[in-house]
Amino acid sequence: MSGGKGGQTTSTASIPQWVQDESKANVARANEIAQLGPIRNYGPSVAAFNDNQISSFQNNADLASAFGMNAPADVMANMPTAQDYGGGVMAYGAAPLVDQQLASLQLNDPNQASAIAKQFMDPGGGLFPAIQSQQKRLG
Amino acid sequence: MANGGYQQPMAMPTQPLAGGNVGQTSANTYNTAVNATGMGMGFTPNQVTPNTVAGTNMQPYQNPFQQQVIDASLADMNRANQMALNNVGAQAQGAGAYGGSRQGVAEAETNRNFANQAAQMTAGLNQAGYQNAQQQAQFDIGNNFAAQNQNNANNFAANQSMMGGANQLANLSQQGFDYSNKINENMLNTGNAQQNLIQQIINSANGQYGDIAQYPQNMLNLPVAALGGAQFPTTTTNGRNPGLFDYLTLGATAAGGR
Repeated sequence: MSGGKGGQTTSTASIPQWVQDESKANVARANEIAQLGPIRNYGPSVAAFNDNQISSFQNNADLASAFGMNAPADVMANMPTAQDYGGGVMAYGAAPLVDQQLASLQLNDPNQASAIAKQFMDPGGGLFPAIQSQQKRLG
Repeated sequence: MANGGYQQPMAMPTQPLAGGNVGQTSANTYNTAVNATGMGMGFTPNQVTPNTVAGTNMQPYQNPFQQQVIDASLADMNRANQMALNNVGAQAQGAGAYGGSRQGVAEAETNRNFANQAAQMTAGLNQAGYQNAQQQAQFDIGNNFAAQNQNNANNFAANQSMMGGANQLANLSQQGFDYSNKINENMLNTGNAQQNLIQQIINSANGQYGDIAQYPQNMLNLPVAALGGAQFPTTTTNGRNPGLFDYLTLGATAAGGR
């Protein structure tokens, strides 16, 4: 730019149209993806104890009992039941606990739960089944 | 009489030591070892009480025929004395002094001799009998004393044996406990390795699942990355706004042209 007493010269650089189109398309795609919401994991999280471990635990308890010490008759009592995920994988999944936490949030802080749920589509099963099914009914 | 009789120092274990598994056996053995050691530590030797002749009833040691021997001896001596008295009477009769005082003196002397010999004989037999009884009693007292000591020695040896057995049981218990723990530890290690493998499979699956679930978001970066690296031309438009000097120059040029 020059000028002053002699005037002013301006120079404008414009982004090519195809780049602008691609950028807009990407933003639109991002908005669609944002609608997906968080993706739950209903699969296994932690490998369960196996027969060798359980036997070892039980042996240890039995040994304690033989020496007159208190020991549980069943060392696996009060432990959650492992789920068979196929392929020989016995494990625990975190999904049931997450369900509980979300349900608890929905119960105790329904406004926050609703605000979160509004940010994305109805997943069909749902992070917040009650709220999102209601939203679905309301259209 | 204290006999110091031998007594079993401990009750032998009634329950079988071998249990259903090495841990139970170790526990049984341990308990038995503890009990045996406790009994062994409580061992006290019997007090040895020597008997004495003074405190011993001597009657059983007396010769049961001693009185008969004395009586027979006295009877023999009495017969001899009677014969001696007869001789004194015959001598007095021969001397025409039968029934006199001299005969009486002689018979009294004879009887006194008889009495002395009878007393000596009786005392001698009684003393011999008592000494014999005393020796027998002393022999028994010695035997009893030795038996008490031997019983104590036997009890002590048995106690030592029991303590040795208890020590061996303690070692066996420790050995069984170590076996049990080692086997259990190996089993646990095997199980941990298996669980770790399964966990790695789960982690791998979750990693792949995460990639899939996050794919839409990650996909957005592809166009951005592509645009960022591309060299595309930009259209530049230049424009100029005239200034005061330009207008003055324009004015001067126009005036000069007239």
